[in-house]
Amino acid sequence: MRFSWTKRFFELLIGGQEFRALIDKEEWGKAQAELDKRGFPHHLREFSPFFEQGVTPSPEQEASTGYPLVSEWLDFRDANDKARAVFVDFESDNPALTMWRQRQLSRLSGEVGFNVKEHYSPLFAFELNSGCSVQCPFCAFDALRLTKVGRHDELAFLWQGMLRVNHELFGDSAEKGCLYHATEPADSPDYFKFIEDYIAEYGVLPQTTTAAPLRSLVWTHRLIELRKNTPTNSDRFSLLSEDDLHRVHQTFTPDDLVHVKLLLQYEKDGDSHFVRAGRNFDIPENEADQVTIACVCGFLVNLPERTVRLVSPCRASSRYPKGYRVHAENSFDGLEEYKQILLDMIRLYMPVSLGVEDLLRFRKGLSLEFAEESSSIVSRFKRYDLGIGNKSKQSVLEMIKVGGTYKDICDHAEKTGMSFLAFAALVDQLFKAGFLEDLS
Amino acid sequence: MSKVEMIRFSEMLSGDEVARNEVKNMGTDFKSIATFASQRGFSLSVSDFSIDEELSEEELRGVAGGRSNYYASGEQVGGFLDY
Repeated sequence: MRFSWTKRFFELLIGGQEFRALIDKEEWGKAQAELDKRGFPHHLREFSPFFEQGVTPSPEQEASTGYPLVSEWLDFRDANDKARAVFVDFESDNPALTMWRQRQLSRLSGEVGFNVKEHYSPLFAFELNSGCSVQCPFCAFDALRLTKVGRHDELAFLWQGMLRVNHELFGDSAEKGCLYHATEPADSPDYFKFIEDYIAEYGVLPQTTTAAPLRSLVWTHRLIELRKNTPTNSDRFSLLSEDDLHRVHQTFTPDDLVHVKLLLQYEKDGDSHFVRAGRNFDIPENEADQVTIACVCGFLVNLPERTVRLVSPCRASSRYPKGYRVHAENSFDGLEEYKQILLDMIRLYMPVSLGVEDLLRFRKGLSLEFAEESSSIVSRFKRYDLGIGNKSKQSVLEMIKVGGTYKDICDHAEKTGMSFLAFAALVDQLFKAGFLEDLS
Repeated sequence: MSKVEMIRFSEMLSGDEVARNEVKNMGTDFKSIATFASQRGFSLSVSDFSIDEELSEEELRGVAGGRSNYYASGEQVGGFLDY
């Protein structure tokens, strides 16, 4: 696969300071020597559209003319985009869950400034251990130290049952999960046994992200082989230093890593890609590239602890420093209890409509803007147009901003001339768009 | 959506305090409201009570960037590498 070499070239260009300096200084001979030293079967000039000034990704086909490596890379990337779009698509068999996720992800889009719905948001994350042995200094989840390792022989019955329950409750959307969160997959000696159960239930290989790809080469090669058979997603190696990058390049061939994204988690030319969350929550906002790494919108399950948390990603804040909200938490002993917890969380925290005693209030971070002919709700990154405004509607919005029960605000709306059915339609629209604080 | 049907339903509610309070107490449970309407001979569905069109939105500012190196910036190579 020639594009595997293109991928390696990018990794070297972005993550290798010396190589990048040679490109910067246009020392082509030395740069070529670096490629030769690493066994590249291609000449530097074959990659030139990727690093020459003035060539931008937008006229891609133009850039690829006469550069087969570029064309092949763009085809590979497009194929991955299409596969990802299918993977990102989410429709649960449970409408309350689907609506809840839509509300949470709409909220998140307003908090982080990009359309989160285009990104993968798993429904489940399963922690197989308690804590993490790697302890990255920047860990956005501020993972606890490793204290307990879940063993497959002890947990298999429960685990397989949980997968069945999730499948039964949520249909195929239950497959959208991963077997790690604030944990390191390589800490689990039985990781692939758990994975095999997952494949047996859903027929898919979930994504794995590891910060220890060099700890056991047998383990890592097994992961790579599994992914080659099911390349519908990619795995990720989190690399903590440039030395790690070079060691990974020496250890694994470009073809080995074609379905592995390398996350270069170290400073590169003063560019640190800080995530302001967890252990890095104290860095100034203007130095942060991201404000959360959380992506799970649903259930965070810890197997050894037997806990379930209902979580959704958010902008990290003093209230939610790890970049995700915990809406509810409970523990279980057996399978029936686990199932009941999921059902209770849906019933209690995922309403599909609002009752008259429910409290209505805009969530934090939203403000109102009124003009003569419009009413808008404004978040940190977006302005949402509610259509032509009138005094009645604006007065109702003001009251929701202050907060009150549905009944009280509805009575107020009627006094200003809005029918209670029009009020219900307005509130329903605000609710579905994720503008209202969660009820519990 | 039948606008005429919705007007007829609203008029019925205006003249029937008991029915009005019953529907009002359903909040945004449009399924129950549609069922209530149907039982009284009105041809209305859930979608007749809700606003289904998505809100138009305007970007106010992009996510912070400001990195210095053109190919390491996520704008040049990153654009290619983001798959």
